[in-house]
Amino acid sequence: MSFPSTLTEAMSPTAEPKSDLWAKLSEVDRSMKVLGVFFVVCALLWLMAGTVFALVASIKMHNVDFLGDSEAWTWGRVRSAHLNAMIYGWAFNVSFAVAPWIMARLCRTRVRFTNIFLFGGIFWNIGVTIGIYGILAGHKVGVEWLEFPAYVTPVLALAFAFIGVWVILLFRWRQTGHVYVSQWYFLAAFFWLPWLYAMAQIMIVHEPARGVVQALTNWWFAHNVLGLWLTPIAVGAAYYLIPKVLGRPIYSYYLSVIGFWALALFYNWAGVHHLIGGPVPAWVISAGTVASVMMVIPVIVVAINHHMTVVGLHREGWASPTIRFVVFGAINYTAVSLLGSAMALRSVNEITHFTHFTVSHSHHGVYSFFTMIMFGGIYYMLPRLLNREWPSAMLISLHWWTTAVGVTLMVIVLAIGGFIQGMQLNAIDPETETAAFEFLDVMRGTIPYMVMRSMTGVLITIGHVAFFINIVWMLFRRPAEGSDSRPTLLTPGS
Amino acid sequence: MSDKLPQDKKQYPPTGEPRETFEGHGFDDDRLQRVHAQLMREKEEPSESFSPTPLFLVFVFMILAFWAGVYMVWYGGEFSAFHYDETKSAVVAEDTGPREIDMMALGRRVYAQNCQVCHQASGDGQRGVYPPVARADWVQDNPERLIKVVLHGLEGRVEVNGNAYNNAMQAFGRLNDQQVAAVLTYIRTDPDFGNDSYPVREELVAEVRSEYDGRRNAWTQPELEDIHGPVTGEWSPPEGEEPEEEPDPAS
Repeated sequence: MSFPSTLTEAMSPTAEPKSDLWAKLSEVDRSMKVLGVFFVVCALLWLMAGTVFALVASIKMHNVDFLGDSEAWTWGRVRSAHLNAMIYGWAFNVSFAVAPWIMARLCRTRVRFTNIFLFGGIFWNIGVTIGIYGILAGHKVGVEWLEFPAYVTPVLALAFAFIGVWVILLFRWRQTGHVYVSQWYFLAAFFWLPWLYAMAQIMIVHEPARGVVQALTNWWFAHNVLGLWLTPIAVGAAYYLIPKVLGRPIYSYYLSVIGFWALALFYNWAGVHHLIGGPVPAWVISAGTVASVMMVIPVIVVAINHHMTVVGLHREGWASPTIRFVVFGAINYTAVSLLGSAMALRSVNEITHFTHFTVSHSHHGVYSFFTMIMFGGIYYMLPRLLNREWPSAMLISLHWWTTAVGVTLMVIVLAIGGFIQGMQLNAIDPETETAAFEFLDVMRGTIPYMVMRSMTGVLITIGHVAFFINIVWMLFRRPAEGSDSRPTLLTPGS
Repeated sequence: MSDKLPQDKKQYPPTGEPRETFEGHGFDDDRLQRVHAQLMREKEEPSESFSPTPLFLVFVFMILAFWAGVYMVWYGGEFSAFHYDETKSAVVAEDTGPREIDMMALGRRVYAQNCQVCHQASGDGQRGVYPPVARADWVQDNPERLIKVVLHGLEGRVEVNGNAYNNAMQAFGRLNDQQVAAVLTYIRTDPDFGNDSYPVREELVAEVRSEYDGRRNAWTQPELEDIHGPVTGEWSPPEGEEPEEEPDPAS
């Protein structure tokens, strides 16, 4: 028995001894193996497909003729295919891989009835595949974030119901008294999303609400997928991975509580800021703006909590692939959220709305924050599920540098281009009191930024290919018997 | 727990491999160590310490909450479902009577939306197809004739400024009286069209409209000449009906 390293351990000497804990975690890992690997592989394939769609859509922004003679590859379809493949394909699958695994570990329970989860997962992926095909075939619904054709969405809703129920069951099976902060986030996320998705589908696609309510529902849903699904998953994962890898308890339980409940309280309102300037009663938009700004509270609370946990351990963190990705994601969570709060102010939104600035912001959120944390999660999870080490530190390093640099450049390039675009669109010629710039000239002005965006996209693609190779290599390589197992670190000698 | 395992469970597999259990082993088995290499080097499962919330955060929260209240009071639109402009107060402004309409601006807009396609922005029309409205004898003539044309259309052979045209103009009866008066005032008085005639009153349009209420078919030139006589391009309002003020051509 080692000396108690945390307050809780010291306060409860009867807490499980370490060897017992390891035995339990070993069983958790074993029982989650099939699920974890299945969803990682699905997520990986969708990531690659989404990357291809992204590149095509991006190139079309400056080379309109590119693949122009193919109906399925017109911009309007490829762009939606990119969004849906990345969100419902990559982001959901990787969440299904990482979040339940962390949940099971924190519940210290061997999972049961995994077939329910697997069944839901298989149908989810069948649904997404049909949905993407439907989008490319021209059956899509013209509502952003809900483009999947109406014939496939009930399958998705049902598949998610199986998954959500299973995760909630998993929480019920927990063997621990104390519920850790990651578990709050995951449990809430798996409750929130089915509600969001079902309501949005019913009120927009199947029994459409009339008028403004439809638009409100659309952005309530679209923004909450980010805030009440992707955010809790990624923040929850960061709350597990940072203290776990660095071996240091989370800075403050109280801050965790504030962060969680403030997110639950404020995020639900925030989506309305997408309708600033729209024919929506003023108080609804004002409430959305206020809620978006109040999101500063959970964001700085989480930022302080994470920062105070990491502080002083930067050398260790830099050596670990997991921590590199997760901390990058956590820093960007703070950045993207504060920027998002600013963008919800009417005066800022007038400039940034309908420009590439918004595109920059969404990639900042879904990629720099969510996806990077999920990469970190996979780098931590997969060796434990497979009992193998990552085959190549070089490929991890390549993945890290290309994606981190690529997405940062993309966010900056699109933000600058979008801001200039917004200023030009709004500019008024003082003499004629009409628009100072022709619309076409403004569009032409964005082309250099679009070219740069495609180049950053190529950089990110290189990173994804490295990630793909590393995972496939890991899955198919048999480790040599009796060889020493060492962690794959990114800096030698640490 | 292990004592109560039923005998048929493989408690001690013949290969000598350890079985999965929840209770600890002490990890003396070399192979087990290797299998769980990743696990063995893991740090503790995450836990929480209980550092207090920094005081400055409380101030930040309070400032934010205060700002939120002020924002909702200023821009809340008094929580009315019919209040769309957050910068305006929901209280209805004092009624200053009907708003003064700039007939020339309205006329310019009506012309651009309805007339310009055929009669062109310059008002010159198109030779042989669309008669001109600029410097045209018809436009400078009796406004009632023009009102009839606009309300019900015009078809058949038409002679304008001595040139013959043969086409059909559609009826614009869907425009309201004010719009018809505005567009006719505009083409008759705007210096760009060079007609320099008199403005058209809204009431005149209303009179003509009610007089020919049931009319469905377009006018023809002979029909109009029966009522108003031939087009001369010379017309001035009858005595006592002079407009009170000259329209300001610069507006």
